[in-house]
Amino acid sequence: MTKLLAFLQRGFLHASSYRLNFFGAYLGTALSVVFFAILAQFYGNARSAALAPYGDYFTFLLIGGVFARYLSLGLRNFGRELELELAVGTLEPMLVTATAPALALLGPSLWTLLEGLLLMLGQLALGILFFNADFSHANWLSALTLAALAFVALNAWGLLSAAFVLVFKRAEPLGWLVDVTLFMLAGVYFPVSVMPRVLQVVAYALPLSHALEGLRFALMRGDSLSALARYVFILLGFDVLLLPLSLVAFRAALNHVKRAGSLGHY
Amino acid sequence: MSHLAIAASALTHAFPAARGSVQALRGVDLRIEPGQFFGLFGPNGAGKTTLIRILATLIRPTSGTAQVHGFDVVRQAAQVRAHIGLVFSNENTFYGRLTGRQNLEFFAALQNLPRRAARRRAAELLEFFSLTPAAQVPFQTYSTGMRQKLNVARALLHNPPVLFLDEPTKGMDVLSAENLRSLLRMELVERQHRTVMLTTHDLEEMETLCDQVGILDHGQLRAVGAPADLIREASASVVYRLELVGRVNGFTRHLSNLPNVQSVTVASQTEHATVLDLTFADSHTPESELWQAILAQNVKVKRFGPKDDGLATLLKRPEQNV
Repeated sequence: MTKLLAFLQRGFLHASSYRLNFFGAYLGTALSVVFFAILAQFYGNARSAALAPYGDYFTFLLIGGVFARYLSLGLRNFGRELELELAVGTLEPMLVTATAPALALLGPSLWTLLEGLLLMLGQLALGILFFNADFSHANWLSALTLAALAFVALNAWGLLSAAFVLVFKRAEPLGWLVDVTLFMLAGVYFPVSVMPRVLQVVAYALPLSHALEGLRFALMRGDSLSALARYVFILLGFDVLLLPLSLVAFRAALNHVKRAGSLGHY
Repeated sequence: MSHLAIAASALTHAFPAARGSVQALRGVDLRIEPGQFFGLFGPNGAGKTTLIRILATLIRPTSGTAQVHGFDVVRQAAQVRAHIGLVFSNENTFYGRLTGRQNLEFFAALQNLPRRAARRRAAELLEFFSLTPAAQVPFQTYSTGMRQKLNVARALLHNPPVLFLDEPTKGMDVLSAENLRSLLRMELVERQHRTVMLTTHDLEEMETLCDQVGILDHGQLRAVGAPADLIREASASVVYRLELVGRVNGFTRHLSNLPNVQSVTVASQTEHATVLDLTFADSHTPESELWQAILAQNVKVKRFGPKDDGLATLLKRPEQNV
């Protein structure tokens, strides 16, 4: 616990030392809620039939935007923080401490994940308080379960990216996927069902698409876990597939760089 | 559990390269007693840093075994890390935007120190290294000397019995380096009885600080012993320096014909002086014949004696077994 707190504190101190960037991030996430509100108002009168199963477009956008942003953090965060530690030169000093290598390598990401969670909650609160986001039917248990399952799947993917960073020192082979999946395929701004059939196949191969769809049903319609069983099983499937794979890949990458002596290379 | 602080047996390491591999260590055997100040000396690329990194569990050896404080560096890496401190040669291994105190407290937490103990220990070490006035200043504003002190302080946070220092005085000014050296020797080894393994290119540092020195060259440990013994045995006055007054021509031929002389080389020559290096096959120097030759040629001798290169002599010799 002391170590987790130390990582969080270190992350906060480091992030907040860049004051403009730090507060700019908060302002940016607040403005994104305003952007969703404007977008919803603009398209409000021309709603697609595909939105019918959900409810109002602003709440649809808010859920898609804030959850996609947070869940995608897991995708890139581990690799990005690892790159930063390599560039600063602090990775090796951490790895010769009495801290397990896995925690030393992933601990630097903790602050970003916590900060992302706080930002997400802040965005939801802004949406509810100022733009009448409708969560009156929300089934929070269903939403939390789906969010947790999606979190594991996307962070497992993020671990794969970190394994790339350890070996190749750059996460780019997977990084580009985030933007594409986030804005094009996962259904942040529109339901996946409005996309061409081919793209739908690709979209449903991604855990984020299932997560956003399930979360919207849980938060906008109040679907129970049994009603959302399909999403639960799909996300669980991603977890079962990706988590062991990412752990094996990460371990193999760590062993490789230890043998090659390239642990601290950048 | 071994009583040795550091032990290595037939330790090898090969770095993968584009074509095959680069052999960094070739069968290193090492035994270091607790409380010793051990120096690893050798040219660039000799394998010093690789050896230290293997002992610090950052690199996995290709073959052979090594133990630190009785724990195997591969199978018991966690226990090894709990008993060692490593001072990096790179001074930039801290978070630049965090203060010295914040950096130390963070690394103390990673060394399992509870929050309050971490704070106290960081304060103690900052005081000990005269860094208290700069404790609240971002690390990126520190001078090289201050950075290296913080580097050493970090390695001592959890009071490890074994300390590895990879060129700790690199880039430091003469005075700061001298202060750090005396602190390492007097405080860490003589007073606190820690085992210290140090790598350096500085011969004087090696000769004055270390109880034992290992000469590493091309991945092989050529010799291990006390610095004075190594210097005496290595030099064994094999090379003598003869300084003559004025420019002397043709004299080298006479000297080359003396018994036991392997070679004579002109180290320097001006109108005022000639400096010759005489290499003998062994420690027997034919002094009477030498002086006769000198008298016969009517040359004036300014100085004659063993040419002492210290530990560097060892690296110049093709093979050395001590």
